[in-house]
Amino acid sequence: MEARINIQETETRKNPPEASHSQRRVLGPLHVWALGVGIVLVGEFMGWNLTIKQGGSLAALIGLWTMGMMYIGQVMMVSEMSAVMPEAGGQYTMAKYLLGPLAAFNVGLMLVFEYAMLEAGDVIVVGQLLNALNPAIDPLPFNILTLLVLAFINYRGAQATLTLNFVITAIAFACVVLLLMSTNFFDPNATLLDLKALTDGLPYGYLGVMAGIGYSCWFFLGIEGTAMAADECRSPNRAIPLGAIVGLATLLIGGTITWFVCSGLIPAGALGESVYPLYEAALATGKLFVAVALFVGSILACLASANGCINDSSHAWAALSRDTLLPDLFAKEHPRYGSHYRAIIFLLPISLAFAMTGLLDQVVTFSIFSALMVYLLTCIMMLRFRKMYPLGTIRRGFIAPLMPFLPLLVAVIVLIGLFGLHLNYGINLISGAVFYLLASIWFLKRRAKFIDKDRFLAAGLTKWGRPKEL
Amino acid sequence: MAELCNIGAWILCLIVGALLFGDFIKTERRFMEEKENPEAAEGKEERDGSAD
Repeated sequence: MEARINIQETETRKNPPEASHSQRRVLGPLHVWALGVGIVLVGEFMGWNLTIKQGGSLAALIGLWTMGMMYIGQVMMVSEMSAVMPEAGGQYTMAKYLLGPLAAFNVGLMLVFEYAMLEAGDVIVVGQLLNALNPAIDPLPFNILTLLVLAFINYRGAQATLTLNFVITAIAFACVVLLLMSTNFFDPNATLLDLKALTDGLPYGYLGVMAGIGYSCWFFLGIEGTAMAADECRSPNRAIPLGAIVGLATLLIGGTITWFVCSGLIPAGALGESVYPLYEAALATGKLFVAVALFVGSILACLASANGCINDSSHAWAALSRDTLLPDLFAKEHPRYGSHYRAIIFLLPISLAFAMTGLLDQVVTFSIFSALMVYLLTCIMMLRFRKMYPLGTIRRGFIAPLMPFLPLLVAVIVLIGLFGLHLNYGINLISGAVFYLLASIWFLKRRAKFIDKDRFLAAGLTKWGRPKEL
Repeated sequence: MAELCNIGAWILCLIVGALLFGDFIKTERRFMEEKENPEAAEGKEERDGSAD
């Protein structure tokens, strides 16, 4: 016991809390934008076209804008709640203070798997892209190498990771714009696009639209990860909402360009089946430099996404551990780099195992399901937050409009998405639900007893006082 | 050519894996030493220049 106290004292002397905290506050809005868009931009290079397979060309476009609305609502709700939270951690922290330990455990776990599965999907596409260049290239060593290199970069700290992400993301977005310009869309006589002939409207009717909405999540999935970086931001109240809103606008524009170009260059049937739709669109232009740029862009987008995912999933895993919802060994930071190095190493084989299956649609579905569940819980948290702390009782940095219709509208879109998802992947949704149920049972049986509830909620109660209703 | 790429990728995997897990093991050993003997570990840290 005495030895343990000595260790703590030694650590405190070596790393006074304020000093170590200020050393880590290095990120600005550009880094936040890069983290958000970097994770998500890959959705335009792969995966989004499943919406066309599910519901047709028009369903993909309707889904893109409907999900865009849902994410704008999410960002507004998260901005109001995260601005008053006593600590960083996005939806996980909100669940911790507004719904309690079990919900916090589930939200944390869902965020970890949302990112870990997205990371696995990215790596699968990197391997398949290289394999498309030359079928004799074995994707396996490249899958492993990609994950190891990105884990190593993350292991060495957040600033290096996110500075790299900013450069990669900017190049990948420029590649999408280059593809658009190369189609001569602005000149009706020289345009390569033929939307009328190649799109297929709504072949499956309103059910197809619902299925399309579920998968359109892929255009934006992971943008909420920006809130995870609040701990490392110089000015989190400004950087997080600014980075997230500009990021959403970037993704809406990028997503629309992607739909427009791909639908105008590739027949809907072939587009729905493609593993790398933007690269195939580039090949369809017949211009070598565009094809090369989009090949490089696709690889870079996958790397940026996987890079951000490792950052976010390790943050979420460490947050669960720090709050004793998981064994506390994962919360330890690297003495030199300040990264959650144990969480990074622990999650590495999980992503690798899923990447090695090569089942892109399965991995994507589990990631989307986890994300949609978090969004649904966010709506419940928002309603509860306004009930526990009505307007005027605590100081807010941002007030979400249209209450209580905003969370209800967002919840309806999320439920439509889940319904649409179940049409083709019902068994996956049931498996996902069973997984989180079993994890909850494990938590209640094995971890709940270690939680000191007073300490768990102390920071929130100190900051806001006892709520109107608990 | 493709064979060479595959072998190159496996070799890089070994190198990056060694760097990553090498540092991980080193860090874990350091924490264990710190736990067993805090005074000696602090002195070693200062010599390494990694106290911060």
